[in-house]
Amino acid sequence: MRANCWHGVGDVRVEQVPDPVILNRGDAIVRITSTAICGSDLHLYDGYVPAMEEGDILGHEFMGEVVEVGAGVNRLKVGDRVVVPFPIACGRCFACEQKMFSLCENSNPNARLAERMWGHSPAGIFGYSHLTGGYAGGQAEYARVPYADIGPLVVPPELPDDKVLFLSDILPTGYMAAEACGIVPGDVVAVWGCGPVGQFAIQSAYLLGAERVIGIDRFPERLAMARDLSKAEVLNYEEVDIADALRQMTGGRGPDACIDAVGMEAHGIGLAYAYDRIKHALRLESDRPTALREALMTCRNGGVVSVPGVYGGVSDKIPLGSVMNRSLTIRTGQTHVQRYMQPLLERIQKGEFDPSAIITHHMRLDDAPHAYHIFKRKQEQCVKVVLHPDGH
Amino acid sequence: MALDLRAGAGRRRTLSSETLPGLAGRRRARKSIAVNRPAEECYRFWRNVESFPSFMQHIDEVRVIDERRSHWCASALAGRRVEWDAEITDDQPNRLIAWRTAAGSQADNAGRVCFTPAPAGKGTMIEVDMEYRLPAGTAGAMAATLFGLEPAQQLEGDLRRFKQLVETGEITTTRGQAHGPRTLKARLFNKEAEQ
Repeated sequence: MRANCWHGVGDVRVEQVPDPVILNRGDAIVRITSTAICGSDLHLYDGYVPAMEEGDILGHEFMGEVVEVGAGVNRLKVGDRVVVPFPIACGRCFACEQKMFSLCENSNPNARLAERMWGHSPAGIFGYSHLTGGYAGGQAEYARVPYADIGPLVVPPELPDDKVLFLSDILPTGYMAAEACGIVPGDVVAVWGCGPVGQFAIQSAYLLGAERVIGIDRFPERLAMARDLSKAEVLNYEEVDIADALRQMTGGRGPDACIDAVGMEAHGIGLAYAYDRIKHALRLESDRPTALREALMTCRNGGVVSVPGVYGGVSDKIPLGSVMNRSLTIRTGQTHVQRYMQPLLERIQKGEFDPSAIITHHMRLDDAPHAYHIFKRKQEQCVKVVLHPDGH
Repeated sequence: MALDLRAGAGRRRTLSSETLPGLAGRRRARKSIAVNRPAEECYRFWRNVESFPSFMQHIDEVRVIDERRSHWCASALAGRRVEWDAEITDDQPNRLIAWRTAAGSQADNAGRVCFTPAPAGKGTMIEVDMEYRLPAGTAGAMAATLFGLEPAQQLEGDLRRFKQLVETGEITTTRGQAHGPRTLKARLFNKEAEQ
């Protein structure tokens, strides 16, 4: 089959690789019809997530048709059309029973590696480095899906791929980030990053009762999408001082909740950003927490800072004094996608979300290297790319 | 103010893996794992020693001799095969199993595994406490560590796989999955990562 493989910093190639096979009783093989590039794939592309190896197949947002199931699979059948959640979860361990699927205790075969890096191991993730299992990803014609009875959601035929594909990651991710804010009617929520997760976080915050949502970015097309599609008030951080503006907009108090939908490769301005860029480039710091710092400093006293943005390791100059003295709550985590797929599917069916509206590019799988190139550089007003392995 | 003034003072013990004083080369390994199944089920799985090769990577075969004794075959360094007899010295159903290897055999270890119901019905705490001696002195011990054949190292992976098998009925793996062209480094790395 054809698959998009990682070969180093800024180097992905679509190559001919062996077809996946069933390795365990609970596996299924899915023929992929649509597969997306996630903002977090850019952290791999840029080489900031450790434990990537040449030849790793990328991709964790995909859907398709079940073409084969293992002997232990009871729920899924050949021919089912499914969306596959990005965290791999067994459904049987303590974490899965608590519905914390992205913390599954059994799905990371490289748990020891993750324990060295993070203390304890989270779940395995498709196409997301050997720290989270080294699983082959879904930017390919086919993928092996472990614990197939637990994760994949069978979707109704009348909904096209574009409407349901993002149930695999970014729609639940934006939603969980907003849910974590504990929004009550009247709340003001600020969202750093108006990429796909930021857009869904803004839309979810409104659905959960926020009075005002403020989107922060610097790319005009993303700010326009936040304003026109997601109905946020928007701030361009290259034009205005964000801390100052948020103070003005909230009677000096700050937003009730702040969402960092940017993560480890934040762009910023000023001295602290220059310091991070140097340390990051020298690999003395694994993450550049520019957006997180600003969120922590601007959130109102006693507020919640919710972090769907991906961080990989250690960061410097996190203002813990602000967190402690101002009674802030930080909530974060890889998304427990399996928990949100069915309820969010119903919201899509009711028309509360139209996830397809954020797609700016449809391309063939073979064009993945070009897609990464423009997505990384924000060229061609690229916000979200969907790849099609069958070439349509 | 919780300043830890003890940090750096004296020698701290690493309880999961330590060298015992006195007799040369004796070591002790302790590892525990929480399994989301009742103690009876964990005990029953563990008592069936012939199933051990399914989750103990270095054990090739276990054959039951009688109610208490069994014969073990394992791969060692340089493709060598090691065989020994082991005996269950204490067996308290659903609570504890203790064992030791037969005197004068190629493997020298003894220990026990306890099954304790975790608080609030959250499954079972499985705790292994074993003593062992590595053959061939210091050089042998170093080589064993290097090749992942050190029992304390093996125990960790074995317990993880035991948990996977009891909880899900399968052992999590990516061995044999599709990938693009690998460099030599990537091939070596992948061999090491999954243990």
